[in-house]
Formats: sequence, C-alpha cells, structure tokens
Amino acid sequence: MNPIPTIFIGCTALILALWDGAFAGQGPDNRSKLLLNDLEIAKIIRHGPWPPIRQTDPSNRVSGNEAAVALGERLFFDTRLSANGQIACSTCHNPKLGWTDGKARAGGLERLDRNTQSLFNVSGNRWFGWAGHNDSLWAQSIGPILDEREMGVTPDRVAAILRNDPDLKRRYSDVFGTSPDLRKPMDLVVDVAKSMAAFQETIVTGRTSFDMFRDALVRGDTKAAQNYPQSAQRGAALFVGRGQCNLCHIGARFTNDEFDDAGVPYFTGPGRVDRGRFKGIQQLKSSPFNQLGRYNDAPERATGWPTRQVAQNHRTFGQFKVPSLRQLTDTAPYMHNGSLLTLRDVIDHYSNIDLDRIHSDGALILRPLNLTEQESKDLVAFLRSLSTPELK
Amino acid sequence: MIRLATLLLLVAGLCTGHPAVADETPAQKKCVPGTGIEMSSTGDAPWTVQLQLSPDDVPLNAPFAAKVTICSQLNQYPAKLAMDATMPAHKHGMNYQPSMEKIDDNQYSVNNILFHMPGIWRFEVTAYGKDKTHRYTYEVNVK
Repeated sequence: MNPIPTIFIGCTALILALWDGAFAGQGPDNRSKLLLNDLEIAKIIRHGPWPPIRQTDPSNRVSGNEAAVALGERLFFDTRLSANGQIACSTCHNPKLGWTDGKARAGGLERLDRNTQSLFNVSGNRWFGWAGHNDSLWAQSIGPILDEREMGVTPDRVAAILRNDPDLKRRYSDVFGTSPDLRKPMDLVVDVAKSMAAFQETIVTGRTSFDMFRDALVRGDTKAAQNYPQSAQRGAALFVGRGQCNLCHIGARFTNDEFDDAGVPYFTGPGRVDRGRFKGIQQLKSSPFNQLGRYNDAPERATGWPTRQVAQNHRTFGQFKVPSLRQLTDTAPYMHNGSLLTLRDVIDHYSNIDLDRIHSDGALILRPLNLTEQESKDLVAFLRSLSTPELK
Repeated sequence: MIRLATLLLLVAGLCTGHPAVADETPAQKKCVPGTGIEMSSTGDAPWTVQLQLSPDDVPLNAPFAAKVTICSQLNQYPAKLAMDATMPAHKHGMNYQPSMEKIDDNQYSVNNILFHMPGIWRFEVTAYGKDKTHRYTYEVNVK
C-alpha cells in the first residue's frame, strides 16, 4: 500500500486541527474582515475628511489672528471677568474635562437648566447654544460674561479690567490697533468675546481610529480598513443603516448643526418648560449681537442670511441642537439637560425611545430601534471610535 | 394670394414648432427645451415650469440657488409664485425660508435654499393664476 496519500491526508488533518485550535474559544472579532457593503461604505466615507480645513470667521475681524488667540486664551482663564471674582469661562469649560464641567447642568453664580456644551470643534458651527440663540462664536461668548446667572459682570467692569491691567491693555492694543481707553465698554465686551472666539476656534480634536478607517476606505485599502475593530464596524453599519443616525449626525463633525426633538423631557421644574429652539430663535432675532447687527465685521454682513431666513414654526418647540459626536468619551453626561450619564444610556434611550414624548408635528424620523445587547455594544464601540484617547 | 400666404405661414409654423400667430417674446425665448428640469404638474396647468439648480447636484446642508422659469404659449404668466420644499418620508420642511426675487416676467431667482438632511426632497412650486392655483413638483435625492 502506498503510504504517501495516508501521510498527506494525515498532515492535512493536522494542519486543519492546528488552524482551528488557534482560534478556538475566541470571540467574533478575532479574524480581520471588512464587514460593510458598498452602500454602507459610501455613506461612511461622507463622514470626513478629518481634520477639516481651518476657516476663519468673516464676522470676526480677529479670527485666525495669533495675537488675538493668545489674548483670548489669557482672558478665557481670567476669574476677574465675574461678579464674585471666582468664575472664569474655564470654570465651566474646563480643558481637563473635555471643555465642559462634567456636570448634568451648568452652574455659574446660579445653577442653570442646560448641560455645558463642550468647546471641541466649535469653529464652523452655524448656530451656538442648545437652542441656537446665537449665530456666531463671539456672540455666544458674550452671553455668559454678562448673564447675571453665570459670570454676571458689567461692561464697565470689563472695560476697567482691560484699561487698568498694563499687560492686557498692551495686548488689546496690539490686536485691535487702538487703546481700550478709546472704546466704549460694550464695544470692549464684544472685542473680548471676539478674542475668546479666536482662541476657541483652535480647540480641534485629533484623528481617531474611525478617521483612519474612513480614509482607508477612501483609498480602497482594505487591509488597513480591516484594522478597525469589527464591533465598531457593525456599529457603523447600524449608524448609517437601520439606526438612521446619519440623518442628523452628518458629515465630518457628525452633526448637521440643526435642531431636533430627541424625546428628552424639556420640563425644567414645576410649571417650567424649556422651549428650546422656539425660544432660541426669538432670542436670536432680538439680539444686538446677531449677524444682522453692527458688530458683524463681514462685508455687507453677508454671513447674516441664516439669521434673516431662519423659519420660526411650531415644530421648533422643544427642539435642541444636534451635537457633534466627536470626543464624546470626554464630555459626559449627555443631552441638553445632561440626563443621560453614559454612552450606553444614550444608545438605550434611542433603542427604547418613547414616541409620545416627541413634539414633532407629525415629522417621522425617530422610532424605537429595539436593539439587541450586541447591537447596543457595537454602537457604543463605534461612538467610542470617534474619540481620541489623548485626554485620558 | 391671401390663402397662399396663410398656408405658407401655417407650414412655417409647423416646421419651427411655434404657433404661426406672432414672433416669440423674450420671455418665451427663455423656455428652451432641455435648459432646466421640467417640473411635474397635475391637472390642467396652463404653464410648464422649468427649474435650474445651482449647483446642479444639490449639496447637503449647504445653501444653493435655483432659477424658476414659467413657460407659456400665450405669454400670460402667474401673478405670484411661491417655492417650498419638504421631505415626504419625514413629513417636514426646510428650516430656512428661501429668498425669492422676480427677475423677469416669467423668471424668479431663489436663493439660500438649504436641505439639512440626506434623502428625498420634493421641490414644490405654487403658481397663482387669476382664478386658480397650480402646483408643480420635482424630487431630488440629496446625499
């Protein structure tokens, strides 16, 4: 009898046994594989590239000015810009806490009704604030300084700080080309805010594992794309597929910068309701600091069309800003009132969403996803992949 | 001779596709087939409506413009025009009211239209006639 076939069969069986044994007892992520189909890939690659090309704000004449950035950073951490001398912008927007404060609801001189928004990637937003009551980053920076519930300082006080601090006076003159002594107090408040905005525009998050995955897909580099964990891949497929998360969380920043009702209760206390975008538009239109006003530095105030044309209608009641999904691992808790503590809580909220809570005027966007345990974990893995680990 | 002249005019009209009753007006000359998208209408609409988009591919979540041209063989045009857009699947409209400007007897420019979600959007043009309102639609898939 010829022993060769027997030996061959035996060796083959041995090799197969060893191969199988190498993967035995391991989970579904052990083998490299690209799980997305062509349609899913086409949707995924629209969430980039990252980082975006840096753009200046035409309505802020010192946007992108390095001296203004330095002045703004200096002022951002200055507690003198508060009535009690103890609160700075950085008190709520703490760089060590993802430029938030880690609390459910913000608190300055008084506790407020909404969660502190992170300053990550604020440059390029169309609207600012959970209700979009401001249309520029510098206008958004004015509110907390003057609001008696937050920092509560007056324009005269801001003027005094700039005029009486030799270092700040010199820096201001270098940036704005004139002495603060020659400017009206409210104009100085706006200039302070514009410097702070120039600084905040530099707070940009880095590239994430998702970005590397996305760019590999663009290049057609399947081998590199397979380095992205399979759980996150499954989460990505859900995100752009059955979850329809990409209807609102679009583009490189994972937000359309608009507003929606996500079924989070907007009662803030007995008999008190947070009207969200509905009131935000009212505040926006009446603000002297909006893009239609004299403080807009853009030629012919060309940046003002969103404010001029924004539609106020019934469905904006109870809508809040669609937040960016980048760097979420550092910005808990979540939603406009900070009511959801973890990313898993957010996923569970959308999985079990109560449609009766949604004030949508018949708009059919959100519906309960009824996710399995694995699907929920996969979505969390995907969301985590939109964050860099650097801050940890 | 008059009959021959009439016959020749009719033949000329048939050959050029234009009614042999008068020269084309400047407004009618704007209605060149294939220039824009012809919007759909229902019923006995007396006009056709052409839509030109700028850019051609409607961008997602960024402002774009449109030119609406009303085409009429009788050189009569609606007194008023309105344009809106909705997402039929979601039953909601736009977050911004576009600005509309009449630039000619039969042309309107529409600016700062913004579609803030991906999916099917339906343009809706309403033309207000003397006695009746006519509606025209066109759908586009925004990605």
